[in-house]
Amino acid sequence: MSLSSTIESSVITNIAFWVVSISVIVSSFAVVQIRDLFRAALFLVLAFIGIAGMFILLRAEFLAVVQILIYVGAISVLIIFAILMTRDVSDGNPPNRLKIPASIVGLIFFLVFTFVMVQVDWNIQPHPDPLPDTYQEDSVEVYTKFSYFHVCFWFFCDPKHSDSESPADREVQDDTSYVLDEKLDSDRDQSGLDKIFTDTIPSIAELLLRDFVLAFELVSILLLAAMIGALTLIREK
Amino acid sequence: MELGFRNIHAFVSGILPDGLEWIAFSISGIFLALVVINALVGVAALYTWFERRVLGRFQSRLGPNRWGPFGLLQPLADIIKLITKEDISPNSADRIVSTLAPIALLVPAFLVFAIIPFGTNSFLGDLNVGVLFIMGVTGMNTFGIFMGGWGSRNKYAMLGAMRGVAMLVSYEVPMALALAGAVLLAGSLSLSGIVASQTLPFLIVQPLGFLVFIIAASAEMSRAPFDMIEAESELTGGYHTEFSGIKFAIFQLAEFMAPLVTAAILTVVFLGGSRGPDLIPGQVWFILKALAATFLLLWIRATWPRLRVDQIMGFAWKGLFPLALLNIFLIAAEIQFFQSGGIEPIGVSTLLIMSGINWLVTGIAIYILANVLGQPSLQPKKPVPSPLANMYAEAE
Amino acid sequence: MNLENFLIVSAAIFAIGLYGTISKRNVITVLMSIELMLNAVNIAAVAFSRYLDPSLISQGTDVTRSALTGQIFSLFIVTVAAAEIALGVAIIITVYRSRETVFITDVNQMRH
Repeated sequence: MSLSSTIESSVITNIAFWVVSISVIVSSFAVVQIRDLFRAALFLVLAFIGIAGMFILLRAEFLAVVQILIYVGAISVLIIFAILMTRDVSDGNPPNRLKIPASIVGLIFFLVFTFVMVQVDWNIQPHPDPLPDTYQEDSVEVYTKFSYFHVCFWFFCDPKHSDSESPADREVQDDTSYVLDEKLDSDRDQSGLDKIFTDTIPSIAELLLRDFVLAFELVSILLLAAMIGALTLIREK
Repeated sequence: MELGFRNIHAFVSGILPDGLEWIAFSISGIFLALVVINALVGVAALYTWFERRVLGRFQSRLGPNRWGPFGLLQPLADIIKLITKEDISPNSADRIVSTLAPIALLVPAFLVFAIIPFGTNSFLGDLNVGVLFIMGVTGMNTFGIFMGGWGSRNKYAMLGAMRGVAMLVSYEVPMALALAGAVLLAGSLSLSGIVASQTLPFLIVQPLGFLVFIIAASAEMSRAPFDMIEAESELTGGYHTEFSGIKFAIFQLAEFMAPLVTAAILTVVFLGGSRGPDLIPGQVWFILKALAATFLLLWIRATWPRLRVDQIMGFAWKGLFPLALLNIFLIAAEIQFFQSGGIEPIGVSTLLIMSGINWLVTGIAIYILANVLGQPSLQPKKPVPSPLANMYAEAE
Repeated sequence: MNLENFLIVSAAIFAIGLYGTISKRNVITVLMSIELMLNAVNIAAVAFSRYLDPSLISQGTDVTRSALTGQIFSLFIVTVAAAEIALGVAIIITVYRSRETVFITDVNQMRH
């Protein structure tokens, strides 16, 4: 029974998606509603971790780890420092007089957006499932890195071997509940897309330093400006 | 046969009927979690005995040697004592937060342990963002400390927690940069990739990265010489002042699991992981190297005195951060110079040349840094005569 | 687990963040709600990157650039959010030092 060919449409992925999204929505609601600020910050951390989980479900594992590194590791710590340093004045998390209009606006926004998104006919790429697994159960473990994993299991992968599998092989090997998408065109370059999403890091590196290098440099200048600005504001005369 | 997620999943789904994939996933996941947790807790308990014996020998005394042969049952005695202690907590303490604090400190260690490659691959297979994952997850140690300090409703605990978090956050930066030097040389963020590319261990090739990493990791674990947050003479115990009984036991467990995990990361990234001559299997090489790394961390703890808070911060930002940047710059320049084609791995002779250059630059950099940062503050200051020095002489 | 589900989750988090930004008095809660809104946009961008047909984004055969544009976008949003939080917290602490309050309704000297 193959491991990865049924990943994206399987029961456990759907369970994971529902668990993660419900926990994200509940935690973000708790962030704005809970009166005790420190607990609200802890729920914010939980929301960020849940969002990192959603990124993993969306095959963006580099971004998920960057989210944990920056949002959970640095931004949440900053927010908690701010809470702890302004502790004795803030009397919790009171709402101001715009509470009812704000909730109406939020609700209307959510309903309009949901309506729009469900109605639009998105051109969804018949995105191929992750490459199938040719793992043999009784294979002798060969003691080098590149031959233990023949192909990729989602993102736990050895990318050097991923181009040895072509999409045509998958239909032959798989007789389980693998579902082919309807718009499968043979002239679309599917194996390229799959290779990209199997290990996104080389592609992201290439994009950052070749196509988007201007934005990259500008963001580093922006960070420098933010650092200098924050230090100037905080410095005691 | 290696114990891994794929093996267990293949085995379980061979037994189950078709269509019940999720049961196979769940069972494999839970079984692996059990294995990881039990292995780490058991080894950490054994490590407490090791640390106390070795510290005792460093300090010219015997360590614990009463319980069991050579004192090996001492961790069991500790656990029994801590479990049977009363769990006192202050009246106004935040119950939920202070109960979750030790757990929040424990989880990052387990997460890092689960992706370290003991043989070729770790328990979960080869994570392709391994190094970044380690950095992100060790950054979550701060929340355990914050929750411990906040949940106690104690000003001193709060102060100790804030100082501890400031130190932790400052030392994350050199630690990440030191690991980035190794990643540059290996060409891959995955830990198995780093192990596979160490034809010469990175300890020899980039000593500066090794030094920066070992110092920054000692600070991340709040071990001596950076353990000012638990210096009992200063802050009455820091963030774990108001914890007793089983919660304190979990704090101590987290504190003793940290050096093991750091030693494992050191072994994988800088000492070559499970590589070695084929006389003994790779896992045994890993254990030997991890033992050596643990002993090194213990040695540092036993012999160096504690630093003050301002010295710690100054050292992080003015000392380690420039060194780590210098390391990255050096490695990148060398890679560009020796291998400007880019795909084929670097040969051993090139690595030897690089290591020669690196050792030289390391020595020079540390000498310069010591003269700039260290020496001037060690000179005794010239005494300035006080205006009241001669008051009796003038009054006459 | 398809595109609409992810977009609905993103819209929900954005709406919750919007509610928190408009209707809360404590400036730190406002900051946290802004972070929630930015994260909602991140989820939407990455969901589009994974699900949409890349040849519609950029004409031609360069699949890499269009397939991962959403993730690069999210990366930059994360970085800019970090810079913004740093400055936001610095401003909060400065205002707290001079006015002893963190409620945005109390900082209203320019109104009258």
